Amino acid sequence: MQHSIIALYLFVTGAAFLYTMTRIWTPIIPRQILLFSYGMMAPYQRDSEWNYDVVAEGQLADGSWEQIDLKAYYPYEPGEGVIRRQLTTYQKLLSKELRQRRFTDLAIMLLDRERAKGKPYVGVRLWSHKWGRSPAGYEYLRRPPMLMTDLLADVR
Amino acid sequence: MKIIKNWHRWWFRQAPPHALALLRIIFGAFLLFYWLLKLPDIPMFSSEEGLVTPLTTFVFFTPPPVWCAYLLYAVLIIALVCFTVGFQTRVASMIAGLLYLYEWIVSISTFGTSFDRLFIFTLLVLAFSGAGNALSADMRLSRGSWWAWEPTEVFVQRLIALQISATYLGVGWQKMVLEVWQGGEVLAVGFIGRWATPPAFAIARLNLPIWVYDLQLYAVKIFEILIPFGLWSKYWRWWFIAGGILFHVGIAVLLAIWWFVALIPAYIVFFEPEEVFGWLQRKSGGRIPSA
Repeated sequence: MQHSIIALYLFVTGAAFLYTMTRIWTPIIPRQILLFSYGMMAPYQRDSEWNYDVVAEGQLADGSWEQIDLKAYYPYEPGEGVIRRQLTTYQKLLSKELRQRRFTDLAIMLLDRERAKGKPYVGVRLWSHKWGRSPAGYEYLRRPPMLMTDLLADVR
Repeated sequence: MKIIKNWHRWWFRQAPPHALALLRIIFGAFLLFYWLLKLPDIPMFSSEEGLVTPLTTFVFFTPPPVWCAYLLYAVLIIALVCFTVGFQTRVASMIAGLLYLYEWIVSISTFGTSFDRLFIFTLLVLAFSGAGNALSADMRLSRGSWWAWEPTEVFVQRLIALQISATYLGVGWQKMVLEVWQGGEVLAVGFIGRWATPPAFAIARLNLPIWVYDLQLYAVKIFEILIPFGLWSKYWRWWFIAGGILFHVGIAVLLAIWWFVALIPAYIVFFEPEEVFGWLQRKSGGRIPSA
């Protein structure tokens, strides 16, 4: 029994290591198990010169928009909050279209939650923010022309 | 056959459980601290009130009402307390591991962290170990003394050590081949990114030449490639432990990624169980009985 466990563990870990090095899947291992093992050897893989975040707005009945404080929904350390809001994990797991649908689902959830709190929103939209990094501070360049925005979801 | 005999001895010999017991106590205390920090955040973290996107749409993992999320959280905390003090250790470890896995699927997977996976793995394999066979409430209740102990197989200690080695090796090799890790720029931008702390920004403002970051990067890569082997070496182990402390504390201070400091006490699994037992016996002033 224990020999079987060791053999299985070594096989899965070896396959995860192979995937780490070559991106070759070992098909007989269930995807989620391989990804779990691979995930134990894959921290902090990339970075860039840009900061990213997601911003939400709620639309009032008169057509005006006001910003929704997403930090209330993501009461974590700043790095964790951004990763969660951006659905970063799904970049690898899902196609672009499916990830897009996840943002729409997120916007629908947010609209429901805000209405439950008594906010009279008729719609919610999510924006992607991208801005340059600066030694002067995380938010320092988060303003035009260094700020680029992109609509992620718009729900009614 | 000597090879088979050695293989069997390396994996399955009966040995003092004190290395696993110390790991259980320190790792359990760390996990308690980690999870208690989440106490005020549970509604947003894993209940239907938060913006929670589980890994699967299977109904069992639908974020529950707040009261239910807190109930599951309370069971997890109780299981972690039992695990740490060594009360019904195997059951507590399994319950904590499974509930942690549940929280992973419901919420943590959106964060997608390596350390949570490592912690879940460790809890689940410890459920099959003799980590509660020493320095535990289980021993106090069954044998009348906190110092009493019973031997256990080395098996699980080896599995955890191998997994830590695989983690460092995988991470190190990826940094060798991934394009973004070929120059110190990745560290330079990391020091002004979303994870950067005030000390990291302060370093970035020094405007150091890029070769300084290059140097740091190569040191990190070489260290991560070597540590999986160095920790196994009786001669080099303490050097790599010192390197590991510097590395993980440095990351915690500069990038606020503090969770990996849990690996530092886990290095104890690289010591032979008899070695840890001997050391602890001396430190306890002889209160720990010999086999």
